[in-house]
Amino acid sequence: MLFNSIQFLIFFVVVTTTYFLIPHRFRWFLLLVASCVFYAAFIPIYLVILFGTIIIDYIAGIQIEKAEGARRKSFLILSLVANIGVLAVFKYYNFFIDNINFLLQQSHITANGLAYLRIALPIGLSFHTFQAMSYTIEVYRRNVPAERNFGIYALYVMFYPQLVAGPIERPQAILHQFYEEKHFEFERVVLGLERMLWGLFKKVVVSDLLSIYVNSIYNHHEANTGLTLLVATYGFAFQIYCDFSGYSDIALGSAQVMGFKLMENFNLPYFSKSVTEFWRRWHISLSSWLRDYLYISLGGNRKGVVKTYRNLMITMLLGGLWHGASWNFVIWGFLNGAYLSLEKMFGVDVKSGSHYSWPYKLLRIFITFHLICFTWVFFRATSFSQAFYIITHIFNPVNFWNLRIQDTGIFASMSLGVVLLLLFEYVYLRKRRLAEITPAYSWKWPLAFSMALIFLIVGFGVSGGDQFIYFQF
Amino acid sequence: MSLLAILVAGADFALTKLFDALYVRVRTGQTGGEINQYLAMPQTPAMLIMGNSRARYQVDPDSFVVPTYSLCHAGMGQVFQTGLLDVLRLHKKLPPAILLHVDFEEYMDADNTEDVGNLRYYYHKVPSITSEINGISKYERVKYLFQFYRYNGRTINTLKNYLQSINYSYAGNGYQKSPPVLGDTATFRMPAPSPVNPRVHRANLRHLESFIKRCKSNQVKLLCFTSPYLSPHSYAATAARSIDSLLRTQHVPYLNVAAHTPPILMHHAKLWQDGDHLNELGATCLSHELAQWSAPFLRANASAPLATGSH
Repeated sequence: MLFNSIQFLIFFVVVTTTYFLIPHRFRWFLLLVASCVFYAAFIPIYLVILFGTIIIDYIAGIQIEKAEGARRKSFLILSLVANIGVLAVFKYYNFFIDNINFLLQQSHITANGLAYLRIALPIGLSFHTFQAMSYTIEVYRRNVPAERNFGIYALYVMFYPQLVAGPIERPQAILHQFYEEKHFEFERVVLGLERMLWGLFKKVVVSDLLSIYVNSIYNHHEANTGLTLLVATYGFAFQIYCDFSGYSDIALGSAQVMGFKLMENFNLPYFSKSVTEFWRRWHISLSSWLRDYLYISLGGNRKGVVKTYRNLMITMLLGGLWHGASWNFVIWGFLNGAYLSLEKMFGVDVKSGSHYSWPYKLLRIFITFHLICFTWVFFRATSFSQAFYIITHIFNPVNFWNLRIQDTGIFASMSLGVVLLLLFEYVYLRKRRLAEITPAYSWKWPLAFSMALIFLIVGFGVSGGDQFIYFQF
Repeated sequence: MSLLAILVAGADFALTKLFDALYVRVRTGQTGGEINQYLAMPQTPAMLIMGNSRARYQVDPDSFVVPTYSLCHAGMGQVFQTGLLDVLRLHKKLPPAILLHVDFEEYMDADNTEDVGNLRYYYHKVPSITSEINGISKYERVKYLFQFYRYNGRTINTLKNYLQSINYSYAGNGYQKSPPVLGDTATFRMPAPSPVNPRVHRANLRHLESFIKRCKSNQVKLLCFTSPYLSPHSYAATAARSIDSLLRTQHVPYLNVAAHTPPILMHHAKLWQDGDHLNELGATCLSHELAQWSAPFLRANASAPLATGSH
């Protein structure tokens, strides 16, 4: 069930209305059943796998809390092995076999190779696995008590707005919210719905239109060169941003309507003045997860300069692999790790940027955006050779200015979408919060904003467009 | 919330009226302009050519013995052509004869009715189009609660085509020439990708059957043809059997050029745009072939029953 489907719209209306109509004590159960229905709409059998890890983590959490010393650690390891094991089998096994087979063939040991697993990757596996792991780690660190109510713990992992593509929540931020009684507050509901509309606009108008153009160029990359490849790469940068942040907006908005507060996942990342700042603004729930549970656990920057760079590289390489089992994602992670290390090495100041003149700020934003676009080529390309072709041919001076547009209507619509996005986000940047731009107490702005979004979606939205890119992770 | 609903309904009505007013004045482009151009013609031609790109770029209407016009839409399948026929009937612009291009390829896939979405302007105006669109998915009706959804994905094109149409006058015959280009002709002869277990999907044939039925009920003489391939298509023979059988049963004159391609086309790759499309040089040969074949049918009285045989 995709957020950009009418099926979800009906589901959301039914679940939210029922949520406010039934007594508080039954609400967690409603949300749990609704989350099961939501997840089962993709591939029902994967509910079994999900519940398998939920049961293990639930028991492990209680045992970790009860136990002391080595026993305590062994339950944590059991939980981590179960979660990483599921990831390893479903997500990384075929990648591993692929590389083993390649080595076997290269060394002429065997031509047949090892067999692949013919299974589909459960939707959003990396997201809920990381969320489950953060629970047992936090219980182990004694930052939260173990959850005794199995249903509430299952809901923590499965809460449908953030089940398949995050944000990856921490237990201390969300578990207590399931116990709090939520009341229908008009202003909050309006803001939540507005946010959902904004997310839907990003997805079906900007991202899905861009995907038509980007796919047409990237899927026939050998027929394109210069400016066409460059524009397609810029297009992908906005496509993936609008796809993922659009999903997050719908997730946060739908949770907000019911009274839940999820963590912000994006904070205008393309306005960053350095890659370090970009990673504080892009997929915040993952980057903070990697920082808190991996980078700091490896020693962070406390064990000398060399180990700091090593830790940064390990964190970003694993961050790359988190996205997908492919060498392209490893290169993507490596490039980001290298950027972060170099910025650290040269002391690129990202926090005290307010005193910069605006042309200098603009220059840094421009450079950062292009550094990130360079990494997106590896993210979007389906193979290393494709990425190599695109990078070498972007800078090919022959026929550089020959921009392939194909469908002028689609090109104009997607350009309009990006302009509206940037315009709104620029205003957003200055005003900081959506609520400040469209305060619910003033009916005119929310009304105008919602009307504009509704008709942009109706007029320009791609019906039956692609599923969210991050679902595959 | 109710204020928002009222305003949305009002804005939907106003925007739709505005775009309706623009749309009917559009005369260019494949998002309705070419249909409007035909509908606005003072006289209906004696024959209309319908089909996809393989009719649009390969058949010159001036080759035929009667005044002919080409109203072909690239990439559009039979469901679109059948819907378009109903649009012509609605506007009382049915010609006495239609030369319909039948493309084997589209009968090899599962029933794909999404092309009819390109006639969404006629949703709620032409019942058959409304019904086909509703059949695309169970949620289509919900989308069309917004009248403005009829302009979904074509808002900018409608505005652009309207502006282009302001001082536009067209005196052509609908034919789009495809000039010869220097291409890698060796690739033209590469075998086309074939579907697994090629077979004709009966569900797809229903659109062709409806087209024939509508032509019969409106006394429109229907002629069908296929066009040649330079790339070998392994499924063409399978499709040809079903199409041939259907058209024979329905007594529709039919020239299967794909099976009986003039040798000159098969031996000169310079007559081709790619493996499936002739360029304007090749189109002259095909048009000549079709003109010779169709002449006896077109010279006959238009009100006479459909001709038989000639398969």
